[in-house]
Amino acid sequence: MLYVRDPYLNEMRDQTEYHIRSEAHKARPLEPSKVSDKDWGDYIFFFANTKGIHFERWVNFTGHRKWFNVIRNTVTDEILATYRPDEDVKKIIADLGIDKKDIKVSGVLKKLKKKSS
Amino acid sequence: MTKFNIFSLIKNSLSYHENWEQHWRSPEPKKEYDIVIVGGGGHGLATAYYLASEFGITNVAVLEKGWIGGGNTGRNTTIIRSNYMWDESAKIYEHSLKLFEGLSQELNYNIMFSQRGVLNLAHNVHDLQEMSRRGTAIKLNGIDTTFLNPEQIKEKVPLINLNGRYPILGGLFQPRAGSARHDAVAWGYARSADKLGVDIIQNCEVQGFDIKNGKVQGVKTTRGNIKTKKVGIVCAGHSSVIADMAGFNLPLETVPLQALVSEPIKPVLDTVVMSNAVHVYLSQSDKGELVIGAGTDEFVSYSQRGSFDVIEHIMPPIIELFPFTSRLRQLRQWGGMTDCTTDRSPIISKTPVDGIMINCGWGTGGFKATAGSGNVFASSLAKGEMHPIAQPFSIDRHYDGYLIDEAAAAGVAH
Ligand SMILES: Cc1cc2nc3c(=O)[nH]c(=O)nc-3n(C[C@H](O)[C@H](O)[C@H](O)COP(=O)(O)OP(=O)(O)OC[C@H]3O[C@@H](n4cnc5c(N)ncnc54)[C@H](O)[C@@H]3O)c2cc1C
Repeated sequence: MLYVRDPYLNEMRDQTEYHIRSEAHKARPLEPSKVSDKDWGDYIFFFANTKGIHFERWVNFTGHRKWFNVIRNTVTDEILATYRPDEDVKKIIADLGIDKKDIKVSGVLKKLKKKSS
Repeated sequence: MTKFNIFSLIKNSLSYHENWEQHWRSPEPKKEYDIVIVGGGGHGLATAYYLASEFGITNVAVLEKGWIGGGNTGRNTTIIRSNYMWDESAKIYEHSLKLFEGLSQELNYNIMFSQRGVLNLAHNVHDLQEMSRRGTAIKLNGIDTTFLNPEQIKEKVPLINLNGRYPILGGLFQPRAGSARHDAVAWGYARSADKLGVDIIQNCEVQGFDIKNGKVQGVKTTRGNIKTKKVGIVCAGHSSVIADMAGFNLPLETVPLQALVSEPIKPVLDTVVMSNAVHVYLSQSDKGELVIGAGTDEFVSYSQRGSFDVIEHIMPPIIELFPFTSRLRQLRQWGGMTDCTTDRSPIISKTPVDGIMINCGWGTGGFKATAGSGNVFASSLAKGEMHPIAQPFSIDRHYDGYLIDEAAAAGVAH
């Protein structure tokens, strides 16, 4: 069971108050009807499933019901950061000193990773 | 290889069972193999065995980063059944169940396959309706299944509480289902594969692939580079990690699944009982422990342990259905890392890399498929074309939309 800093409440809360809803920073295609079956399938079904630094979406379901993101090490389950969607993820990554090489994501951050390498 | 029988048992008892021969060799990896299997769980070992026994391909290595059967194969609750709803699933799980029925004889290894039946419970009208739809589909596929009323259930499982908080209105029973000893399945396949010439190489972690022009040329391991033109990846929870090394992505998330066992007690339960609605499934091992399956955590994790709240969640319904368990101590609890697809069906498929095939996504319910999965995967690797039973389980179903949605039908019933 994880113990997490809720970025809206700014206090430590129990994981059982939240649902964890898969990978964060996957951009939903703006016009789904126009993307190919391949791109749509990639968006819906394929995940980074990272062993190591993982970006994921959490939602509170017992109180404020808002969404936020969590960076967690999936080997140790240690939570490295929690942030609201409007916060600057690049800055958070830089502040944590995470090497871009260690980031494996199937969504938006992929672009970020490409640019930096 | 010693044949296990009453005579070898008597002979070895004279030397206090200290002189049994090793079950398999521990060879140094060769420079090159015809086929390399990555992952020495039940599925990988079964694949190697059928490659050698059915297709005569014996220049095969199974590379295992730890010890064989130490992954999910050694961590599961060993339920075997084939009563899945969709035709594609029925074919593969029934193929597996049939192979299990003859496996102890075929491998000359007692896998302790006990066809004690699996009973699914219905607690409300919706459950009953869903069960009648599923049961009928299963019957149409020629798989043994019977509907039981509450009295028949009470007769089969006398200690069950029919009229508690979760009243029991009926059940679906597969008589040929049951359980087997997980370690013995891995060891039996390993021993027979080794005898046919397969190299089982433990403590050998695959760390990368040699890929030229989209074709696999070899694997890089902690024990050196090994050349090969054909690779079968069978790594369960680590599939995405290995796929990443080969440069492709998979439709999987790896989540912890837990189980626990109680202190041993006298025989109280001679079948497997499951309830999808309240997430309970339990059986009694030959040692007398109650083997209880818990649920998955919601989050991706490679930590090989699960959360306590998941265990808290399953205990109340178990006590409600089996009041005698309230004073039973739970002795051990553990977790495995299960590779889950969205439709809860496996992936047996070619990959974007020529020469690499993958067998994964068995998630929370692949022990029962060990024999069938290994068998059809061996055929696919040997022939370079997917076995007809394996074809629907291609990665491509996530693009063309032909999902095999067992999420609801499989439910808790691992
Ligand atoms: C708690 C629990 C209960 C379960 N209950 C049931 C049940 O009742 N019935 C059922 O049918 N199924 C059940 N399952 C699911 C079942 O255990 C699995 O689907 C099945 O055992 C998978 O077998 P496998 O051989 O594919 O994987 P594994 O046994 O996990 O084997 C994969 C192997 O790959 C190796 N590996 C990983 N990375 C590398 C690398 N880089 N190089 C070399 N080797 C590597 C691992 O060390 C591992 O040994 C349960 C699972 C769990 C965790």
